[in-house]
Amino acid sequence: MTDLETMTTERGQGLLPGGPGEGMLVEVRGEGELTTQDMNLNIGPQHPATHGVLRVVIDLDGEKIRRAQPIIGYMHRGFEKLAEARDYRQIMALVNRHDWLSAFNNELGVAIAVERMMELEVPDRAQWIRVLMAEWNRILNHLMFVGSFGLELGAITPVFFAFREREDIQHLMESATGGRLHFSYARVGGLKEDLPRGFLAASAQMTKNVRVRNAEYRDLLQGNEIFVARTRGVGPLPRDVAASYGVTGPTLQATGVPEDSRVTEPYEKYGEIDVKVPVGTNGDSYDRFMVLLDRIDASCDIIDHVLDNITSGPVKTNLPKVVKAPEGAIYVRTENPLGQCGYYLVSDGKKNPWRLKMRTPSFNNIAAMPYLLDGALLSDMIAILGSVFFVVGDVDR
Amino acid sequence: MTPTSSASVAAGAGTSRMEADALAEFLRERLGEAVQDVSITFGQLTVTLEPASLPEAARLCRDAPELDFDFYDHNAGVDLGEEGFAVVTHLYSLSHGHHVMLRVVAPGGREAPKVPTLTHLWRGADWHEREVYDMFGIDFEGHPGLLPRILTVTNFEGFPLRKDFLLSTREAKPWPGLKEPKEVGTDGDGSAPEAPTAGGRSSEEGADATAAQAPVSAEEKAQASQIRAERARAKAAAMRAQKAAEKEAAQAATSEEAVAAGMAGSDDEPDAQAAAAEKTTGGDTAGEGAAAVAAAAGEPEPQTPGGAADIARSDIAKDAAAGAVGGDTAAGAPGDRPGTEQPVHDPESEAKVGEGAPPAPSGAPGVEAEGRHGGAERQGTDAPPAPSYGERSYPPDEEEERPAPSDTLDEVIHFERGQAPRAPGAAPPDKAVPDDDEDAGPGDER
Repeated sequence: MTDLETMTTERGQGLLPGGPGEGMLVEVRGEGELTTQDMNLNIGPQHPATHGVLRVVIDLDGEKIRRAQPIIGYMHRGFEKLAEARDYRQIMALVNRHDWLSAFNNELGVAIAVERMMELEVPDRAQWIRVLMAEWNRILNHLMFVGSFGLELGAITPVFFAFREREDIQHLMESATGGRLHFSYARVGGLKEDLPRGFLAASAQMTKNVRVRNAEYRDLLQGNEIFVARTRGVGPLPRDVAASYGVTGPTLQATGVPEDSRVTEPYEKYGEIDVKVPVGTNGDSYDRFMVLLDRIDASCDIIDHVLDNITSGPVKTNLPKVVKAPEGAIYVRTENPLGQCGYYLVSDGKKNPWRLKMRTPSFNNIAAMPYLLDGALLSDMIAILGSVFFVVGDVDR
Repeated sequence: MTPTSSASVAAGAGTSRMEADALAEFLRERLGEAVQDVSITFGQLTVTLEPASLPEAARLCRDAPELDFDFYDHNAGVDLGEEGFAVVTHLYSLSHGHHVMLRVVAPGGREAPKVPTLTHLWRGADWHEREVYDMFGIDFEGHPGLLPRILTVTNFEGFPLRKDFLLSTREAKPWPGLKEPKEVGTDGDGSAPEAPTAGGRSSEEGADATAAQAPVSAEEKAQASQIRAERARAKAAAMRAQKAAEKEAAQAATSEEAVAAGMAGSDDEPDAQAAAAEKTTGGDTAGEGAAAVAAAAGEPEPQTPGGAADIARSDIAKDAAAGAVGGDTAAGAPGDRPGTEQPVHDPESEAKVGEGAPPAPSGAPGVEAEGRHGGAERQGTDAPPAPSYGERSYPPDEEEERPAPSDTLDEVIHFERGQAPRAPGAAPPDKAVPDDDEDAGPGDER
């Protein structure tokens, strides 16, 4: 109402704010009788845009969001408590599941934490394969969000295309790990087993495929006027706010911060690889999505580097029957597809952890949602929610 | 949108990064008495602070330009047992690239643990503190609202990550899997002796229980088996009477009746059956009955078609398909797997019943249709010999050329021949198999 009043030249008259008739003097009827009222809108817990059971309660003033409050916990499964009742090999299967789209990256974090505590040397080949699998899992994850983000904005094609590549990569990873979603391939001290025959050749071909396809997605979405109009400038996140919330991954990199654990604290063989960290400038939905696409290409580069440099040798170390982390505490974080995933492992020297804190990227990213949605239009909510890439299981654990 | 290379990142972060010991020194100097303990493990600095000084220390960490901890990573509650709880706040500096963990032991013990909030310094502290409250019940003084509980439901009782909160599933039932491998020394050589793979705690108890029951005399055993045989005989007689009344009956046979009916099926030799039942020791009635019938059939090789058909004609085939009789029929068909053949034949038998074709001699169409045990027809009538299953699934020529583990990869490998990716569900090109030899990847031995 206030906007209209400022434009009103005289009582009962107004100027059209835009469109073909911009600036035209029109008669405004019933102006004095219009009243606005805050509206409380509940979105979710079941909503396609929330990819799971995230609920957002929104206070609306007209079309503007006054206050947004994500309500989480619908998928809380008590993983941290369960981990205390399991030994380290069982935890591998457990951490597969909090972020089901980054299963291998998750188990890698726990494996590294236990290995560092035990001061275990992982064979070179195992480290290379871990990098390889982590990057394939990253591409798998990113393709999912490339597809689903387009879908949420009304572009239905990318999701079909993305799932085509996902299917091929899942097939590839299945040939090595036996799983399509929950790989359970990492072990403390190495890997479950070596790669199958022909895996590396297939990987080399697949990166070529993914690069070509990724360029197609770029054309498909970057060249789509509607997509650009709906995402550019929508939901900007400043750098300092992102840091204050502990936001990581593409969401942080889109704000211009080249923070990536693979570069700043290299684990496994990442120290020997030139990892490209794509960054954005504005931190808006568009940048977040473009960073995601660039990360796919960067992962392809890493895989090619691994394929050129992988060595032969064993993939596991001999361990005692029962793996026990020595007493102490360690914090390990790895760059997961959605951001930095940290495991704070407190051990009392027994075979199961005393405490395993899962610092998941989605939790921190979703925590920033009230800031992002504040003042946005309701119709932009989907574009914002979809561009802060998260998995609800990763939020709730 | 230009990707930055990692080199510049590493250079930028490397110059001002403070190592853990330098950080510890800096914090000690600036915070003085507030620092209770400093520990550096695995290159990670953990500073234990006096709880009340946490906000000032955190503010220093955030605002001092040398530190510049602008990134709130997470905080974690830790149960310390009788001492109470600790809260570890992990901070990171995006510009410098160093970490610190600020640890406070919450005053108030286990009863009323309290820690000052950090929500006024970092926005991210809000949800993380709510989570720690939800999981440990630690009160964060000054927090804008710890309730409603963030992860658990609103009326949840207790704080789940406290050690005195028992994981009810594990309390009610011990770990259901196999027993843990026996704990051996941590010497690290994989040649440690294999631990006995006994069952879990519950199965151990079960073993004890059977062991306690085990030492019974041979007399008792014989007596028990005699009783069982008598019971079986009586049942068989009852069933005979029933059968006489309704000659083509046995259509509403329940599972218990089926056992008896099975015995009735071979009613021409009741005495042999009873004798056989007497011979058997142990096992429940059904298994015993099956064995008895097998013996009562009077065939030294029950897997011969005649004997099998006799057995299968009786309804006992339904109950014991997975047991003795099933094994027999499977034995009569070498190479066949009893588990897999049933789904193959089921639709046939159902279809046959649906067509109104004469059912198997056992004459129990309803049971045949719903019981999903085609054993009777399979052996007795027109079912193809069992080895055909193997032939259908794995043609011999294919089996020779394509080893089982590689067939998943064949479809992947054919990408590298420059062909278009195969549509999901489409059959792989025929030449994929011979081509595989040329395109073997590294590590291939062929």
